[in-house]
Amino acid sequence: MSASGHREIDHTADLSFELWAESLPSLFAEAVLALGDVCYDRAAVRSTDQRRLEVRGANPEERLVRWLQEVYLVLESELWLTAAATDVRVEDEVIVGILHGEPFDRARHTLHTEIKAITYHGLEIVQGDGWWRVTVVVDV
Amino acid sequence: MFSPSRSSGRPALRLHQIDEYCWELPPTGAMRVPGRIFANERLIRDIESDKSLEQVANVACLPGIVDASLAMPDIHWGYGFPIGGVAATDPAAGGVISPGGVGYDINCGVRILRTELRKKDIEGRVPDLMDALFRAVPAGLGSSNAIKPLSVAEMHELLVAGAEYIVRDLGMGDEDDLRHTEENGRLDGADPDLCSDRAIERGRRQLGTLGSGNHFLEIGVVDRIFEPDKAAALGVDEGTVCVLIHCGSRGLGYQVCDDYLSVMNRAVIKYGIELPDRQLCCAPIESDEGSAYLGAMACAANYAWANRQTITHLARECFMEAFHLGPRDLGMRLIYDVCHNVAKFEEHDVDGRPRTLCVHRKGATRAFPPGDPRIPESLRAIGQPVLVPGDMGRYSYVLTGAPGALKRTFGSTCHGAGRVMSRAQAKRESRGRDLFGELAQRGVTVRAAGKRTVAEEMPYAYKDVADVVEVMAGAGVSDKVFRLKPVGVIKG
Repeated sequence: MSASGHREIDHTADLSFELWAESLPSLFAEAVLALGDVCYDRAAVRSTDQRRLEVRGANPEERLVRWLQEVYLVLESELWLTAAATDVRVEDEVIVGILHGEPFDRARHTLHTEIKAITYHGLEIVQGDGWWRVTVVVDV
Repeated sequence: MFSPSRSSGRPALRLHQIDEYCWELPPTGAMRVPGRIFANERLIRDIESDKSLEQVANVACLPGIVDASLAMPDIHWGYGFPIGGVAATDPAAGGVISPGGVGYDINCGVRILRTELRKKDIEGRVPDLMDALFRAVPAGLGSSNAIKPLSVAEMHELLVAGAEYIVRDLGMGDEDDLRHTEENGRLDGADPDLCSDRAIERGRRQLGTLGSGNHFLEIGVVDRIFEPDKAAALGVDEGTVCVLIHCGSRGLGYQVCDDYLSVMNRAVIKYGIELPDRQLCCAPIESDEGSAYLGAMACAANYAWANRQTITHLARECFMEAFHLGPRDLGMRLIYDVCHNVAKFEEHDVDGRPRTLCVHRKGATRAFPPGDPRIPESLRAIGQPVLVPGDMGRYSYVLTGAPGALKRTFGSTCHGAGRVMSRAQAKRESRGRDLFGELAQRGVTVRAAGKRTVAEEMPYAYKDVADVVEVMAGAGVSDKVFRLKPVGVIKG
């Protein structure tokens, strides 16, 4: 298994993905990739533009939910597609990072599904020796 | 205050069959009332195989819950509350309101319109009609701008007035539409100041859009009549062309739910409410947090009715243009509009005494019987129509509420087929198959914003809705009136 990654897992009514990474910032960056794969064909998205993202939350799980909520809102409201996140930093209750992507282009991009929410269902960021892992359930 | 041990430490749940169509979970642990599940022998085995029974038991632990935690036969696992769950709480007995008992898509619901068109009138014309509808009604991720975006001030008016705003201020539809919408398309108590700026902003551009997931716009033809008199009263017979619209409150409703889950998580600690699952987070109805959620929830419910009313107008325009008919000749009248994700105050008899209860219906539909004063006069003799969509390849049903509903389910029945296959599994199943071709073979023309959604929503991913409606008919809760077969479907 590679150092960081994600995979969709079976869930009767909704969508769920499992994430793993070597650090908490990498886990947050991986979460952006997983969300992108749910919503559009991420491989076709170029990293031509950048935007800074900053979220606050009382605990790591709340920060992860809010981080993904913000990434999703950029998609829903502006149809701006994220290819990747870099420079993710965890500073106390704040997560900061840079999103790389571009506006939706009908000729090149394929959209999949809208999501209703990033949920707290069973959400627990687990840390081991040099690894971090979490499963996120998305209401669609 | 969450006590997971109350859930995991609960003795194994034992189902006890009480009649042909109903099973009971006797109270154990922190359950205040029993769980009661409507099903048949086969459906109950499916239900036992996922975690939804545990959720029925968890809901039975809510403060102020009355009679039982109920589950309809289309129950499946949801967040906190199962989908297909009904719970009535008593405000006067410390009863709570829980956003998880309503769901993210507040007032997700269905409406059905009948037309003067017959099956033969649309033969060979469905693909063109679906193209026109697909252009007029934006669907899928990021769908917006079906009509001119509303200003914040206009949004405030809409959130209070619901479908009335669309009919009276925007001139889209008529008073008859409002009469045939649950609550006349307007829930009282809506206060836009209780919605976040972000919620209102998300709603400004999404009016008249379908979204994705299981939402759809469908053209169906009536193919079976079970009660001819009732069908005639609803303006249909075999061969009548109808339109179904299934969607909800879009980003505005999701945002209201998200915003208030945070509020409720704090309220649970503030009021010392012990819960087996934090997703049941709630507040007493008679508390600042409870009434704030109810005020915001009413806004989202009103937005959903406004949304379905706008889509109705867009669909009528497409039909009139396609068939060169005026409104009178097209006769595209709203039969009824029901919500299946909402909490409402209703009076119900409990142990022979009328009580005003907060009835949470999450993936369940109100189904009041004939004669009930809360349904429009024109429908009172036959009972409230209930629309139960099936999967997009088979059929959907129109039912009416029956007397058993008030006795057994706080006037509630099922809302759909319920999934049997996960989305990931449905996608795997669909690999290498021509899904659009398969549906065309069944006589269904599909237009979709996202092909993956079609794979996830294929008929084999769902239970047979016929089994579900049969249970509710057998239990005396709702009666089958007619069935529709889809001929054209728009998916998001």
